Amino acid sequence: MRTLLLACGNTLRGDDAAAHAVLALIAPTEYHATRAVQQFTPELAAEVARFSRVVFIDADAESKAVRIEPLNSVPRNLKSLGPALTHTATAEEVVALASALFGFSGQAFVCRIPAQHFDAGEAPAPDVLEFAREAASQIAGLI
Amino acid sequence: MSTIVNNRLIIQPVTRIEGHAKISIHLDDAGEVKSAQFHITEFRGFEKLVEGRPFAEMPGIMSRVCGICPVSHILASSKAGDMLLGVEIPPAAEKQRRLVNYAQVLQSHALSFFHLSSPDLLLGMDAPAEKRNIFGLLESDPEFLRRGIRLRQFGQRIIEIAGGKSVHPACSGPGGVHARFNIAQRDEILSWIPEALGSVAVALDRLKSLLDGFASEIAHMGNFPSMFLGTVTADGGLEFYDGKLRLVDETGNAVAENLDPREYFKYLGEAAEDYTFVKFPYYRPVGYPNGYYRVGPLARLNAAKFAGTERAGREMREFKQRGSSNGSGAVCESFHYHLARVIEMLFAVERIEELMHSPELYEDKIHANASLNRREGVGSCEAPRGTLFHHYWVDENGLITKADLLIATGQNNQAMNRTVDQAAREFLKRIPPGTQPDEGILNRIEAAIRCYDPCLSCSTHALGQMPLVVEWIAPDGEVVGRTSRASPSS
Repeated sequence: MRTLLLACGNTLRGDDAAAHAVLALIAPTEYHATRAVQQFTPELAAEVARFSRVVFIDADAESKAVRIEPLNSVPRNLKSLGPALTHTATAEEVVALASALFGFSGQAFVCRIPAQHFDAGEAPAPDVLEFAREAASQIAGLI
Repeated sequence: MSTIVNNRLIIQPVTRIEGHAKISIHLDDAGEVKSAQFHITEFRGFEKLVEGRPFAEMPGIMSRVCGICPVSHILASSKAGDMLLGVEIPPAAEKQRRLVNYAQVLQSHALSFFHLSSPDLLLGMDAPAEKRNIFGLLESDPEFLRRGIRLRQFGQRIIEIAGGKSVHPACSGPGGVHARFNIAQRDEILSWIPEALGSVAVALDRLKSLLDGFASEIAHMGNFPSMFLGTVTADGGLEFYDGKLRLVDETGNAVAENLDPREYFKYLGEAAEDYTFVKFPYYRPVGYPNGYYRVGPLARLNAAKFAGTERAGREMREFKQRGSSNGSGAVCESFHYHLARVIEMLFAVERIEELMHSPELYEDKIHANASLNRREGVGSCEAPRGTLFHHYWVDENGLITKADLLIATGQNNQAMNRTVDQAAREFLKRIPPGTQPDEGILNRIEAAIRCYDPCLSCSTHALGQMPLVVEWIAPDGEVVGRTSRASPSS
């Protein structure tokens, strides 16, 4: 099973760079590929479909602990998705598009990293980096 | 959502555009449309923010103005930097800049056409709002949507290859570009070309087959005479990166030719109105407000005499037959921005393929080294939405003392106001005065704006989402109605 690790965040926005930090902490393997983006976009659907598993990694102001959860609730018929998608997309929307347009039938997970400060700044706070290390460890176990 | 209170209608937010905006429709005592205005309600002030920064940093800073067309800002800023250095950049650097500019136009136009406007065109202006989006397209025509997503992915991928990342890439600066282009990158890009050409052909065929069904929209969504401005080659061909400016009127005749974009301030002025943060550029010899002009795909195809590539050239000749004077005048219907946009996608793909076969693109020299040689520099290029100007003044240490950005969406500001006014007058008269307009009517007013694919984040150099409000306003100034709906993510 080949996994795509998809990190989202702005590296100039403090804790928002947490997902990028996670990718930097995971050693390369033949079983996974990485992709760091500033935002999730519909175009990622085509890329996701080339893999059998995808993990969306993102900083999350509402999380208290690192969480990796399956995106089991993705509505494959798309009718319950948001009506106004433009040039950005949620992880659920990317997976839905990948499934409907590009034949993706693999597993999808989302990894949320607790974060607090998204103001201008070049690195996540030390406690967020600690969460990033924990997330990297959990993801390494997954792949 | 829309509401009416004492003869004033508010539509808020206007959706599927980039930024924050509001439309105000003023009613007379009889409850009929007296006038309509398009407001840009966000403000950021990038020009002030950059004062004191080294000019070499400007491309990186200016790319942050917009997440959709960062390349355009990088290139205009880099060209202003070239002028400050007083250098001519190496051919490989120029070719690479052209490449990312074509890619930028391609991905932005694909977003506008497939993601934002196709729901109106393919599903209909009166389709339910919850269906009138790309997920509605997914149900009705998944292959069309798949092609659109892949086409934008192609443009984004080129930017990523040349600049390291697709959003806010670090591909260019004063004096040249930052990395050499190589054969492996060429081969990847060339592998996309057949699919890209096929996808644009599908889009063109589909759009042209639909136009007869939009006769009313074509006639009333910004159909008026104006001037049109665009960059052209030395012999008048379509050009996105560098050249002279050509201004034509509604008859298609040149008002001005061979205008040096580095001297834009001599012939383009900027007026201000108190109801919007966006300025109103105008052609100085005519004056404000009559000297307004349109920019962007429609204007470029009107201003240029020919495309210069095989497929786009053929489509452009056919396009010009739609001109206002029995095929000889300019195409004045803003609805045809959509068609012009798709033709420009075709042009961009053809030019990208040509560039891949240019030996100069692979040359070693990519940067011209120099120190500061001028205190004032101007850079311009054609952004997806129209002509873009960056104008910088620096002190003896190269620190910015003043910056002026003339943005494409701003140059279309007066035309967009006229378009909203025309659309509101036409479509709102179809309902009894004082009654709530239905979703289809409101969507037509919004769609009139979407013809221009406005990027309000760019035009105000602002950050954030772009919902739009439409307000009905009574003769006494009271807001009597308002429409708003969920804003798109940005």
